[in-house]
Amino acid sequence: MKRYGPAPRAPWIFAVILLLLGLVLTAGGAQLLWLAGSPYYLVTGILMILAAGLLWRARRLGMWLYLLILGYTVIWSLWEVGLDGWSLASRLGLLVLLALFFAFPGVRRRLT
Amino acid sequence: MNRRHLAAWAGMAACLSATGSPAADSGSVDWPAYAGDERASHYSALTQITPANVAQLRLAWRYRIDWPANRSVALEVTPLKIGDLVYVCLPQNDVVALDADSGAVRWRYAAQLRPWSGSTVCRGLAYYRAPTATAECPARVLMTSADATLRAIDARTGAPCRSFGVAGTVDLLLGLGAVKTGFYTPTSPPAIVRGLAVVGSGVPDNGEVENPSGVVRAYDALTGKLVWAWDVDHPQWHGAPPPGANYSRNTPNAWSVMSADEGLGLVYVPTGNSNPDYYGAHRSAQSEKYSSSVVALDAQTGTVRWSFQTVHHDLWDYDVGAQPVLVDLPTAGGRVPALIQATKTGQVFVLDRRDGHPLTKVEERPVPQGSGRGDWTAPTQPFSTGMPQFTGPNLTEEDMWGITPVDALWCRIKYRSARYDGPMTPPSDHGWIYSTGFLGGIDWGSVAVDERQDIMIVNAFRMANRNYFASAAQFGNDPNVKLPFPFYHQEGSPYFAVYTAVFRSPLGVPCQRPPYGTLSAVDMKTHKLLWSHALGTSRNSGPLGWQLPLDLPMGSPNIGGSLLVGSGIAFIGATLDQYFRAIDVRTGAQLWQTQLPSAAFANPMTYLSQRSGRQYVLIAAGGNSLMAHNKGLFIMAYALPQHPR
Repeated sequence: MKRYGPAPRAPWIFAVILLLLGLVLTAGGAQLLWLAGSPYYLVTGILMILAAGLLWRARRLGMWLYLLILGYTVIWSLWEVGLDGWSLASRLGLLVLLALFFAFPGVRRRLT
Repeated sequence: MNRRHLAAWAGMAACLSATGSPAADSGSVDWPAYAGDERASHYSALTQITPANVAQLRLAWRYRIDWPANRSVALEVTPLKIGDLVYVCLPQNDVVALDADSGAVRWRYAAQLRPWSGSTVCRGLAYYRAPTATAECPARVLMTSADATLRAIDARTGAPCRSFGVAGTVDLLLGLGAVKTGFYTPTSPPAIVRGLAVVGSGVPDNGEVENPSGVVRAYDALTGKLVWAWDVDHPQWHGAPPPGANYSRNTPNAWSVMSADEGLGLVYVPTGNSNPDYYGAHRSAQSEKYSSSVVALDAQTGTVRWSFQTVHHDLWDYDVGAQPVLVDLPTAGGRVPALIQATKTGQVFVLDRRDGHPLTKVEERPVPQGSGRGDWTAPTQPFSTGMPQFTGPNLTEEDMWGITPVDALWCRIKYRSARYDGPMTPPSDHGWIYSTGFLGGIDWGSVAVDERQDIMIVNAFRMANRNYFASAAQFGNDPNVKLPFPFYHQEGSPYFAVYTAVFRSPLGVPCQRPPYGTLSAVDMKTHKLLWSHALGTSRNSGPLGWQLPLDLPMGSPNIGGSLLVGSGIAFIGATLDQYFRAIDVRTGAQLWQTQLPSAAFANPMTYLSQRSGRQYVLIAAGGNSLMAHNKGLFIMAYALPQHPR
């Protein structure tokens, strides 16, 4: 029988937060792309859902995927708005805040 | 820190010498009109407070206005000062005379308004001294009231001037026909010119097309007798309407402050629009001609000498809120009597005030077309391209903002789904965004000008509006439904209602990136920006309506203007962050700030008390219900510390 619950020691609260964020960004991002807007949100939303799934299974790859999202978000932000501090804060603030979660060694140790 | 200390030491020396010889101050020691004088430059030649000593300013006195904490209000008053008294009109239209040195109440005039509703704004008073000795009220204070009257009050005693109108009151409802309670509520002081008090009106935005007339009327400042009237649809009527007739309804109203040139015999009237704000197919030809304009009227007859339209066929609520500023400016052909007209679109027009022709380049430029359902769009609009613009750059998707990617995404979706094609994007059935929004640009705070240095100080608000039309079905098909904020009826149009609000995300955060407020200086010799900075911080704002005590330099929404003093300081409140600031006019550097008990959406003023020799700077701090809750209403007076004389 397939197991749907979080893996033992998985950072499941974080995974749920990431999943919700991913779902919202995917739905809104699809609408924005439909309106000829930026594809960033749809792509990011889908990758966040994937990352959430991996973290649900306590897979370290989920962390790397999240950090990849953060990495290209930095590049995308600089490309969109240059060094405008307020615009960068809007794009990066929440993602950086969430990334701090992985700074705890305890979290990283739990991931395999 | 270091600079502050240095300034304090330098200031102390300067202060000692300054207070020793108050007579050294040139220019008027009084503040006898709303913006200093009828020319409205917001400038005072007083020099006791200087960039070197301003850091020592402290509260000299404050006057608390009695007003129920839960009742909506907008405190926009600029006090007057003549002789030893400071005159303030309160939101309930009571008038108090305060001691210029102590703030103690010398008299209070109780307005006892007729039943009224709606606006409770009194922007200020006018002062008039009779040219020859009169038995009663040789000097008087004039006020328009929220219950549609013009009143004259003895400046010395606070008693009504019995010989003015009927027992001190002129009824402004005469000649208007039927007026619903609260539909005619003047908010601005009369302009005084050639012995006349010229008054505009104040009518609700949107709502109905049967709004009262926007007629401008001049009354004898001594007797209250009607001398002339300017009704755009009846230019042949120079006074009261013929028996049985009324002034034309729903014409552009002049709700803001006028200015006047005594020498030229002209009064300059900033105008608004016919209702509703976002549809205009039904407007009369005369209303079209004079809406969103500055109109120069002959002070003796009320006939139009010239007019300049700042927005053609206004579909954005871009009524002219800024008081015209009359200064003499340098041109290639010498100094010329000029008029500076700032607008909500963030444009500043510079005109020759004798004939209205532009002194700096104004271009008619093609603008987005296509407002629907029988309405039309003006093919071009005037752009003041010879002057710096205070509109901010055009919005792009990348300008969409939020405190998280989620609300920024919401804003991007709204941006992409509504119509936005740059400045003057017309109303659209699919919703539309327009920038600047209906609060400006530059609203009634206007601009301040130092004619000695030819420098203009401009504070501008930069925030877009997001609008869409709503159908009756959304409100249960009840035509008389009381619409929730921010929906407004669009009677007289094919639309039932409009949603019109600052473009914000569901978190209450602006959908565009900061700054939201700027303060700039313009060299009026070269028409170039000298400097431009974000004005104000994020204090008292935040997501979900939180009022966070964080001073992040976001540039604050601002309403209300600045004061310039001869020593080279601009004083300004106006911001949501509740600070009152002193800025170095030369560099734009902040020299001093103090936290106010409420936000100050009002223009500051200054005067010198001849009794004490002290210069005071005053500002009304009371917030307003639209932008910031009032935390008490105060008149705050600041001065340098007193020294032994």
